[in-house]
Amino acid sequence: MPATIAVPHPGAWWLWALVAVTVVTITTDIVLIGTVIVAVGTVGVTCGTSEGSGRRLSGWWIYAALGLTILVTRLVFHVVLGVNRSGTVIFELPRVPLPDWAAGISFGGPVTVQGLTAAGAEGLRLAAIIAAIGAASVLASPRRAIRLFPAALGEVTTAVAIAVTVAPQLVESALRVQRARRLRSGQTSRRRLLRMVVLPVFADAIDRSVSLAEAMEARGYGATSDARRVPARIWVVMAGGLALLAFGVFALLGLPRAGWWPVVTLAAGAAAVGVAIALSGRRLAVTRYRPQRWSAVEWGIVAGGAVALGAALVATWVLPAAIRPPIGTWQVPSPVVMVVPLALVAVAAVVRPVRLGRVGRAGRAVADASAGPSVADVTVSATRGGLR
Amino acid sequence: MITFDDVSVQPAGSDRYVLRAVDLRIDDGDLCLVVGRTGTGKSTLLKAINGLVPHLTGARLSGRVSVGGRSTRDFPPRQLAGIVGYVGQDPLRGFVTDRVEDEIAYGMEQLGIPSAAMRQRVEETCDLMGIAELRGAALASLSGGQQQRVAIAAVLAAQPRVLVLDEPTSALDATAAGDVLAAITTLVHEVGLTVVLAEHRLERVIQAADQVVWLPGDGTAVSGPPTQVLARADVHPPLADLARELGWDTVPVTVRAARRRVRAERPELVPDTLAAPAAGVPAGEEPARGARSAVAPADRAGATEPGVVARKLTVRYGTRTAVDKVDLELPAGQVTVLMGRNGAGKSSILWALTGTIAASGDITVAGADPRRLDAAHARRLVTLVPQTAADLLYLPTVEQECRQSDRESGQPPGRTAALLRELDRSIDLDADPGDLSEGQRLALVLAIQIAPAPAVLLLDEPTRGLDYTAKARLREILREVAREGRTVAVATHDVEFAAELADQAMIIADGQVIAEGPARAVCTASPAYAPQVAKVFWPRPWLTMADVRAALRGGADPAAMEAHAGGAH
Repeated sequence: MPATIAVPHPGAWWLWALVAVTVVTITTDIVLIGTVIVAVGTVGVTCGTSEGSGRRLSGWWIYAALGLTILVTRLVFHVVLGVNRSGTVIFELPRVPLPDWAAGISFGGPVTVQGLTAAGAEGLRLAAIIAAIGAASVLASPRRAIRLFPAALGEVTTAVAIAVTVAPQLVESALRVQRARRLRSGQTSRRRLLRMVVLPVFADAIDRSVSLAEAMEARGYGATSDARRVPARIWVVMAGGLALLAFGVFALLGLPRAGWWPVVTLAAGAAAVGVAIALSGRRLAVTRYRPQRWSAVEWGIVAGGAVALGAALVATWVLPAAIRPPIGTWQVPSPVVMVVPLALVAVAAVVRPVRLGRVGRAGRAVADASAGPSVADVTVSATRGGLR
Repeated sequence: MITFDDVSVQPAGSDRYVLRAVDLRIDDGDLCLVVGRTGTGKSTLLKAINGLVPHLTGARLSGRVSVGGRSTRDFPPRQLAGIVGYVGQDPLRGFVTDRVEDEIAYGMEQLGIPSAAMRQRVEETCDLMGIAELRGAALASLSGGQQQRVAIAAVLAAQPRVLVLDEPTSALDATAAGDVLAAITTLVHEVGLTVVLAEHRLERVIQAADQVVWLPGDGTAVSGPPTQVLARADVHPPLADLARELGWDTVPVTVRAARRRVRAERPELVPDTLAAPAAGVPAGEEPARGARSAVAPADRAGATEPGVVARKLTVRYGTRTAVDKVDLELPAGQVTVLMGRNGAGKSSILWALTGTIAASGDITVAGADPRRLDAAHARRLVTLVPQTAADLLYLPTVEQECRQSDRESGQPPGRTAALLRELDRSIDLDADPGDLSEGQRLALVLAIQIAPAPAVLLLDEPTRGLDYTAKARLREILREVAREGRTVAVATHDVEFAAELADQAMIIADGQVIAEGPARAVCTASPAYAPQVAKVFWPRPWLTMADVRAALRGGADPAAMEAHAGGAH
């Protein structure tokens, strides 16, 4: 019997994940970032259904592994090539003298507690962003999110659809290549791993995302009722909005002392994109089939995110030292800051644990509200997907 | 309804023409079948109908394609979505959402159908395609046949005037394919839909076609009524072969027509003659000719060492039992075919025999249990060509795949490449495996999986996407592998392929073996697993074209005849 799906609105999960991303970008506190990873991970692993995606473990672990790789890479780079070498020395690497043209780069040298924590905090922040996005992808399949995308300016939103699906597609492709290598008992040396595995995985994932775009096009995604092209001025507004958005994100992440204006840029960009979509959307005649209701569960998820965001903002106003401690220091987290991960993880209690039900005899989905997702049930669809 | 005016298509960055000066007219309400060998441009022709070629592929198209009066030059595919419904080769890749109901509604949402009408149409379409009970299901959890039906339902719901289907039944068992084709024929007859369909296994659809377009491979297209085009085309369904063999000028498109013609014309066939058994058993081990027919086929099989023995083989996925205490023996030096409907447990049996999925029971493959060996050693005992053969390929060029395979199987460098040359000379070693045709890709995977010289070779559904010539070639290769004394087992839906290939056959249902024995006995025992030739000549025992040819020549082989007659029914 095929598995059925009953999951909360994708928008709720993406808003919730966006809060987690925002919080980790404004804080420098390692403890907070770490607890946010644990919070989104807990929700991602316990509240997700694997929706017949073909695996036993929650897909979130793959994102977690990716985040860990980034963290480790960042630390290794710091030890070897890091610039920040002042403070308490842990151990010392032999310093390799570099020619004059490479001034500013130090190869080897003392490795300090402060330098290592600072590098770790940066790596951990990236890992947290990946963990949050991963949780959203696992909780609300991007395929469901695509359906809700405004079809206005079809080319742009198709590109977004491809971008959104590439990450989960990468996971699928990685599993596929893994299976192939097992069937062939493939043993690859680490040196060749990149060329032999990583590239094929990327090629496969992009290939699949492109066929998704083709399918969307063939099904009429972005068709206008009068079959006319979108006028140039709307494109200009759109492009401007996107540029503002991109710059705002860059400023928010990359310029920590920029103050409020990245947020203003982001808001302006979002407004411009919204206007462009609304203007061009007037040509569309898109309707919705049984739109998913925004019920108490969705409000619960959003509320969890709102509380977390609120706590983080309050902390930046009232206790700036607690949320933005000097980089490279340790401290006991303040209770206000700890509200953030707690609120994020509390969402798990709101969401009714969804069990992969069976199609009942009358054709209705049978959902079992009492039990959490059972491994046995998930495996049914998992292995079927793999073997068919 | 659809016209091609002097259409030529050139893929991006290539000076070769896939289609050259094609003029074509498909009338409103016709079912048009597009045939041709792999790589002759069938998919390109189909994609040109709704403008996916050239709008999304970047190919150059000259001339004019118009559908319902709209030229694809002026209208991109999304604007034609209301007129043309397109279903690609792999339905799972073409799904936009992940739930059946959402998928069916998606096209209508984009076209702005009012909500109330949408609900009604979703219901109607579900009923029409027989998928009402799957409404809330996850697309990835469906079987191949269900996915195909959902994909068709999803484009039908938008009520297009033209339905374009690229190999809609290639993944389906005979029954599921029959269901899908029956639904399509109903649409043509009851709704007046125009259907354009590409298909390799012509025997399944040819009787419903009004028009056949044959692509000979030089870019041109030959169009006309089925009986005439098939007499010329280089793709022969079994009945076309029969017509050629018997010297008929037109091809009967149904078994019924062929039976009538055979009855009317009474071709001179020597009644009790069969082709020599295709078995890879060396001549010396054949039972003596004229010996008592008590030499039953089962004994013959027992005479050779079994390559695979499984006892109480059980595979469970969670609470579902896919393989239920199966006892089986696969004789060495012979080809055994596993048949049965989608999801019957054929694949699970093959995977269990490789030792790569969890299974309980005893498995002995060439004297050892593959589950107890590490992957490299297990590979010398048994290898599997999985259903999507491309899954085994992950390197950028054919040559690298071959070298990697030599390393994996501990073979001297160049062994896989040499095997590949034996299997298919046409493959360019510098090509990207993704650009090969289905047949070439299968040859490459076969070479990789034969390279470690395994005692047992397993193939899961290898004929998907292969044309008749490629299938004949695959048959020869597998026979050759069996002749070397290896055990070959093939899971397939393709009864024509099975009948010509198999020594032994096994029918699996619900994870159990419900029938096994010599292929001739199993394949003639029920119409579902009987090839067309057997149906035409029933109750005569001729199963394949080889038998008919032998009977035409009158070359007697009574021992085989008697042996097989003993096993039938």
